[in-house]
Amino acid sequence: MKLWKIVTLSLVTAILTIVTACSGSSNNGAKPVNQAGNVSKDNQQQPASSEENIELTFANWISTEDATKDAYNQLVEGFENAHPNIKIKSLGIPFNEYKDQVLIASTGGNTPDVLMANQSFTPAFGNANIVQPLETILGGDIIDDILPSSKAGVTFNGKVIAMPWAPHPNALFWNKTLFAKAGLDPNAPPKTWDELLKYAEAVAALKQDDKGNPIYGIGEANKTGAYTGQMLLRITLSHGGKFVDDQGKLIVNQGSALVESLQYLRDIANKNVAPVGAEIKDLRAMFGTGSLGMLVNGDFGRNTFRTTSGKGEVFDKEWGVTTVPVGATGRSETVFTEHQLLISSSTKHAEAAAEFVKYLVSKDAMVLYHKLNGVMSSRASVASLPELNEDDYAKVFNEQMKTASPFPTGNPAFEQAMKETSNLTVLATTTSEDIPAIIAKILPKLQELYAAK
Amino acid sequence: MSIKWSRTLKNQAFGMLLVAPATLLLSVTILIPLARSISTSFRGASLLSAEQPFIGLANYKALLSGQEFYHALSITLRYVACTVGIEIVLGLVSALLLNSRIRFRAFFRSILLIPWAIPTLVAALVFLLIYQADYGVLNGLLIQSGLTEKKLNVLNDLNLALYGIMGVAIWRQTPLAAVMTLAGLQGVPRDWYEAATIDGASKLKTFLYITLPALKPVLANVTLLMVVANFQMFTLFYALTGGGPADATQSLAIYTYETAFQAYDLGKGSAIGVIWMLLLLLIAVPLNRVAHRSMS
Amino acid sequence: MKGVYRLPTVRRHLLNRSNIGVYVLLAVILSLFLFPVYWLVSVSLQTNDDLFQFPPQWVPFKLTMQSYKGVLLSANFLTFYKNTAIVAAGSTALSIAVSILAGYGLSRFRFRGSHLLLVFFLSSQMFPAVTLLIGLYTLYSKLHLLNTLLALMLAATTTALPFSIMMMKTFMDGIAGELEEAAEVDGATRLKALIHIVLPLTKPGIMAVTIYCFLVAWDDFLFGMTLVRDLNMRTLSPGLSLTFLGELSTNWSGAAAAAVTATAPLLVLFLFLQRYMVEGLTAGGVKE
Repeated sequence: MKLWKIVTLSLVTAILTIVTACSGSSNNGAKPVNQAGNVSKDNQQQPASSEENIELTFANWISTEDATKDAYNQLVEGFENAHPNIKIKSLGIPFNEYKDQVLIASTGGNTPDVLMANQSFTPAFGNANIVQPLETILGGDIIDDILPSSKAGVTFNGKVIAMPWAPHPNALFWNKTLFAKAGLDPNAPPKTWDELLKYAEAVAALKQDDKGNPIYGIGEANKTGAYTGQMLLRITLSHGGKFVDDQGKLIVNQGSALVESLQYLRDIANKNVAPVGAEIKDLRAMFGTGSLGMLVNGDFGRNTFRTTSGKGEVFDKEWGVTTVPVGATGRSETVFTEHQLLISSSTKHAEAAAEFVKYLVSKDAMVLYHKLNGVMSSRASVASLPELNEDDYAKVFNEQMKTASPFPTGNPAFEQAMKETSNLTVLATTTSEDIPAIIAKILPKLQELYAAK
Repeated sequence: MSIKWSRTLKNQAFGMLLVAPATLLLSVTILIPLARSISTSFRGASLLSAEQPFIGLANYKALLSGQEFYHALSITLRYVACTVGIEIVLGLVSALLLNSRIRFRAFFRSILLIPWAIPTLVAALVFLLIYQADYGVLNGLLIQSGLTEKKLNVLNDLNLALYGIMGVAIWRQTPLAAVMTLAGLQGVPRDWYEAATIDGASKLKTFLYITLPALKPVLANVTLLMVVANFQMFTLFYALTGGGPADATQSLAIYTYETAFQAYDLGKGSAIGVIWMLLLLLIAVPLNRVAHRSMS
Repeated sequence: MKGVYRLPTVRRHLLNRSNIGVYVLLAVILSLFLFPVYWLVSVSLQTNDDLFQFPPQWVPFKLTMQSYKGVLLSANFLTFYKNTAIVAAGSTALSIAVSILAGYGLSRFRFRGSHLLLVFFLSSQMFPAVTLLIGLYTLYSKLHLLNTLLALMLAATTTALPFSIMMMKTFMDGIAGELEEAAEVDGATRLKALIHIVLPLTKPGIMAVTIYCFLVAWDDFLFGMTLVRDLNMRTLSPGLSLTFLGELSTNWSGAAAAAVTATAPLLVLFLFLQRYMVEGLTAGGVKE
């Protein structure tokens, strides 16, 4: 008898939980797809001619992150006040799932009207044919105002398919406290690549702090992963390398650039000047806790270090930031990542979408965004505004942007190729294999991958 | 006669009715997806486009002519062989110890099983802490005991990473192997041992000629269970190394997952999965037979 | 379990020489297996500041519940918890109901294709989950099941079902059929015989299947990672991986506390019911 009850109970539980799960899912589940779906249905009911009330879906990740949520709300509020007939509906997707979500929703016919992207998402969206060229719709004034390096990164087959919004060039952060301890001038960062190495070795000679924590001179990402590959590209630039040739083939191995870059990575690893097996998030944490003398990182570094150090703004005094030291090319070579804005090719409200994009990259919006989050602008006229150069931090990054190169993201296999590229770094830092042999083993695979699609 | 016959028919129908829910459930969640995967493996399917043109054996040809598949296969086979081998031996030793005349056997058995109740992902997390190069407890142990001078970076070392993953699998799965083996040991009839004692057989001989043969079906079963579980292992690889460093731990599971869900190439991903499945069946079917035949 | 050799309880000579060796070896093995658990708990009870030092402290000197507070106050974590509980409970209940029926059917009736069915059930656990996933993904996407807990429930049920059915069948094989036949003569239907006579005798089997299914559902990572995308729909393992694991380099203690919290209910359940689990494994796994 009792067991009969157990069975009945378990059956009832099964049915109940399934019902709950189903109803739960219709409330919360499949949110992005559903929202997008509803909106496009609404759109169909309202022909584009009726300018009365337009609702635009804006796929983005900044509304999902605590650090940027506030800025997002103020930006949208600003736009809606200026355009009372247009409402922005946020489609917030966490960064880690962003690309997949947008692609899945789009292949299902539910592309959001306006999409946020970064330099590696944009080629995927372009390749899936879900976005439209922007020259006509945004107007020549804005297109011509885009910084040349940014423009190169969003031009596919001669067409600009994304509006660069906020660039994030990588510059050199150094820890003043560690520099002083190592007998270096805390206010004189390295100016050349040779100085960089010398200073890094000096800091690493401190070996460890009072608690036994190891101290390293510099951090370079060297764990398998796309980011590590991208950082290797950055280092090859300083050694006179070039990413792709005129035919769009991935070369990297310009002259001795790749050999020298890998030798640099191997040396700092072998001499314990840099940690091995490190991801960028490890390195950011280490810089924040005072275990790293130097780190090349983007402009969001300040916020990250404030958090990881646990000291907040007080920690700002312990470090400085400057342009990346000059290497073989005689200029400060670095790379930048970038937030970009795209417009769906299937939107019913192309004009309204363009208005929104124009607003987001406008002077007013950028000054606001900069004040709240310290971001910069990819537009020459806006980047040079005094409001965006109010302190040394902003100045350094605006300066760095002038010599920063975009990643060769024009190929949809870019991210995969970068993961493969990271194997060069990993093999150089964890084995003693001959470096040209490592290159001979990995580079052809890399080029095949990058050329394939 | 006719009454008897209809009774049999009724029973048959009832039997079928009883297995219907299970059959339906497994069909929907295994047979249909399986059929889909197989059909996808002959198509140029991508997560990025709605069209899936039939391309014949192209996916298979691409796989078998490249090196990556063989690399992933060899990693997987090495991982499975070592992990399962050690688990069986360690499980047998633990079971023999637990089966000897000791107190608190139930208590020891309970606490030994604890690692098995820990979710695989949590196990991975525990060992990420243990293996961590700068502050990890493994390096603490190795350096304090003077076994090594330099800190090891287990999961970032081309030669050590795979062993690092094996360690976690062995830690989590051996207890189950031990407890199952123990159950098998307790099922060996006592008079077999008594006969051996009368014959004056040594302990080793008793073990080799009585215990081990009696355990054969149990061990075959444990092996089968562990082979299937580890051949499929995804969580540990994904969470501990993600296939790195430099593809040193790129197992079939990771390779399939990356191809299908990160490079969006569902067709090729399915093809890897199909070949992999055939291999698994090739290994599992004979093991299954041993386990069954010896039992009856 | 006929003819099983049960060791007589030996109280004399408890600590004779050969036994000391056994105890020592056993102690070594057990401490090897338990140390990682100790370490996890120990890390979760310290501040990150105390953790970042070398050599590590084998016995922590300052204990704090700070990280547990953080975990239990995190809305995300509680959502993961709730989702996992729903998925595990639902799939366990479903597995029990289905495997009792199927186990009984396979144990008592021979019908056309019943042997083939047995082979299908047995071999279905051998299909690599990642392979099935590709098919499942497109299937669920068509059925609009992606991003629902029901999808995870079904997936977990399928993972656990083959072994559960075998366990149930073996248990029922061990129960003599005469009892039911007697009941049938008394006019009871087959179903009634199953419920009133067979089920009470298979209680250990049902318990074993319960724990097994619960463990399997709780352990799921792959399905939870791929079939669900929304943060609101995440279960514990993928949730931990996406949040705490990503931040592991900065927040060890938090990650450890989350891991302990995620494991605790399972461990409690397991320690109380593992007697049945062992019986079930012995029956289902060994004598199938």
